[in-house]
Amino acid sequence: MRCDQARTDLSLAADGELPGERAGPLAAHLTTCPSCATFQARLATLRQRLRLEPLGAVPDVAPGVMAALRHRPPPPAPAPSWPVPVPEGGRGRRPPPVPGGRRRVLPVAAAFLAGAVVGATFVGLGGRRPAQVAMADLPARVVAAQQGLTSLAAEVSLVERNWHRRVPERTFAGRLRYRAPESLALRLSDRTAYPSAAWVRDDVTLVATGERWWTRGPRGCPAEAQPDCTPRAPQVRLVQRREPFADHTPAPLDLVTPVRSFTPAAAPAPLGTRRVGGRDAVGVATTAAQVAPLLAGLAPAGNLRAFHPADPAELWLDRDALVPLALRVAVAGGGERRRWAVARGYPDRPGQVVLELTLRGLRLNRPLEAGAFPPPPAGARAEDAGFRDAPPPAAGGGASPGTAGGGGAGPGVGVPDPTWLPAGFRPYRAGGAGGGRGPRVAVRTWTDGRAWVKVRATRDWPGGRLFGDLGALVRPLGLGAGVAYASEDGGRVAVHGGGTDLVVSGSLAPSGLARVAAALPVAGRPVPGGWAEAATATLPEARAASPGLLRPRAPAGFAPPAVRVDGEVATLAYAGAGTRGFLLVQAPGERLTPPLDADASGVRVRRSDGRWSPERGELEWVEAGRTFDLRSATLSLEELLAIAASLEPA
Amino acid sequence: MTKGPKVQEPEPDVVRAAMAGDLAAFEWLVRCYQAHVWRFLRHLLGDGALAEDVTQETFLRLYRHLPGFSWRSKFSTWVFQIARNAGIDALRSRRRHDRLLQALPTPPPEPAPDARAEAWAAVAALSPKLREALLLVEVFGFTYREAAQVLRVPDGTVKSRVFQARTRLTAWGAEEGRAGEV
Repeated sequence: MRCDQARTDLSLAADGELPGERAGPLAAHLTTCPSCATFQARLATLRQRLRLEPLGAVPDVAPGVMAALRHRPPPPAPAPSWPVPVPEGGRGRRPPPVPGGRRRVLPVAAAFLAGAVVGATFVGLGGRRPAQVAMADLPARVVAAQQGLTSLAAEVSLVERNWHRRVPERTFAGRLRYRAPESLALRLSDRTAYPSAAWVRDDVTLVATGERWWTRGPRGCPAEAQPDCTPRAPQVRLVQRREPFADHTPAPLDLVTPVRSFTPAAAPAPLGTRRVGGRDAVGVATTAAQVAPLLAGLAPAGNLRAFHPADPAELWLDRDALVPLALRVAVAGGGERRRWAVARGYPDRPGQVVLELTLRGLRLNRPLEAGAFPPPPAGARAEDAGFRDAPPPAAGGGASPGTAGGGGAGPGVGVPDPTWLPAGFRPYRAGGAGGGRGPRVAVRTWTDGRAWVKVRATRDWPGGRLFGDLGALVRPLGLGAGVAYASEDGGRVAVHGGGTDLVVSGSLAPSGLARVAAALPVAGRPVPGGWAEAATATLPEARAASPGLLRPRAPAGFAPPAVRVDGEVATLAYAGAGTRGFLLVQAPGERLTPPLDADASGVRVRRSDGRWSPERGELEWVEAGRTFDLRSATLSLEELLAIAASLEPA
Repeated sequence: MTKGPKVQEPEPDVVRAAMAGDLAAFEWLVRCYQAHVWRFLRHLLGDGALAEDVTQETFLRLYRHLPGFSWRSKFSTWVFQIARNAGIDALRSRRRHDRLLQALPTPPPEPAPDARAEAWAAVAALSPKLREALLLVEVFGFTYREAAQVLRVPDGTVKSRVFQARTRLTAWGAEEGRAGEV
């Protein structure tokens, strides 16, 4: 291959427009031609320079445009050739003509300009006042909306694109059933027209009820090995004696109310309101990382494609019940995203919609049909998850630590009564887990609708780290006279008491879980010196130990940081909604360590030359005699650069 | 804050509502596209304040032409087509205006504080034909076919202009800048 042809092809390849048969010869040429390899590297750097353009203040022309339009007659609209969406009750008819022949012009909420409230509904042409939806408190409303939700039934349709090069689009139809607090049935039937009978249909069933869950579907198999690698017989998995609200159960409660996608409170970007499946919906622009708990719920078994954490996702929630009605995930742009897709064999194009989920025929809080939660197929072999239900103590029956939840497994300690629970919460399942070689754990739960709280307690904790799987980075919380520790995202609160270790989890906001922990009659002690969390610090402690410590200025949508100080190294961990989060590590130093990522490239960070390692999601730079390492598996380089730019003395 | 190369398509329902005269829907479209349009025009025109005026003009034209949107192209492509036409009109009238201002001294060029700014300064030195093709494909992530629709030229022309633009920029060392290699 000649160099001029190779360079033309490199330009095409950069835009994803190189014909497949030319890729091989081009790659071969690059291995022997350093000059063209340099050209390729220069194209990549050029792209990075041009795509990451600091825009500064983008002018807002919308007020001027809209003011001008309000003084003009509306455009002469042709007769629409599409079905006009109309409010319920007017199905199939066009909205009534507005007297005077002029189309009704909906007012635009003035507050939209302040960024807190979105404007009028797009299609509320039936004479009602357009709905205005306050967005700022949406996360809190999602959390609150769980309470009082007793059941849900909906028909589900799902379109998935680019799972495999030979199967550009797959369509699924199915149904979702939910009964509070944790029974859920999801069935998806694969309606795809596959290229041949060699491809196995991705029919999937998940049924979770109180103490049991089962799934049926094809065995998971990488897309690039399709169609041959999927066994023809579906796999059935049945688990009994499950702990209530167990972490590892594939019961995707975020399909019912996307609580984990909105805690800690993420600042939602409003998309307005529209009708979805005959209901008023409010939309938010988010990312695949934020709605990861919901996306994960769609594939309890079988083979669904993966999504990049930065992929933009549009989520439409029922305006009142805040149940998901529609979700669209599109392909994010950028070279890293392209590499990610190539590595997985997805023929994704930037902007292409690769997942469309819609819930129709939504029925809330109505009785479900018989057989909504079918039993597992006959003959399925059951795994025992080891939980033994035991009735909680009778109300007012002198419940004291040591009596509650003393079930068949004989836990050495019960769960004391909290003196506070959210209004409406009532006891749900209780019992014991563990034993054998592990600690014996007593469990109590309380619910209201889809909302739940769980307390696990043990007297057998061997130590070394906190009970409750909080992770290495925790946040100390002052609780009355004692101390508790919250996980990065605030979703778990652990208390290391004298003789008792316990952990509080649930679908409440982090402040609610902390309040439940404070209402338990166990005084929390600081973790002993040898435990993994002993380096946990508060921000003021970290500042004292690490002069010159910087921290991001109030990053929107993230919980307060979990802080660690190990010698002169300070680590700040921020968790956001879904799987969003980042880590900032600061240490004395004058130079960066050698790069671990072959694709590392130079980038300007805070007026100095930094390094971006896309595979590791790591942005590093040196500033004032300190090295900075800003890392995330779920945030884009743009977001990390914005966080870096906002760093200020802690 | 920086912007990535993702010009999204709006919900068809929103476009339809706007076509039916719903101003709230139209305002939503303005808000979706104004940053992209302004950024495109700023580089096309080389003048942020002029770009702001032309952005506003773009959306007024968009509103006028909305009933004629035929769904044959992507909506985003169509928006950029209108923005480009408005930009070219502005360039023409500015040339007339410039002749009147020839006596005035030209402002000094903007200082280039970092490598990125140097790369953009090199883009500004490209001919408008190469520049607009490069912007659409490299910066806004349009395919050659979509960019060809915006520019009303054959696909192959876009391909060759983008390649020429890249060849020139790399020959000028536009991507090297002061950040250098790490």
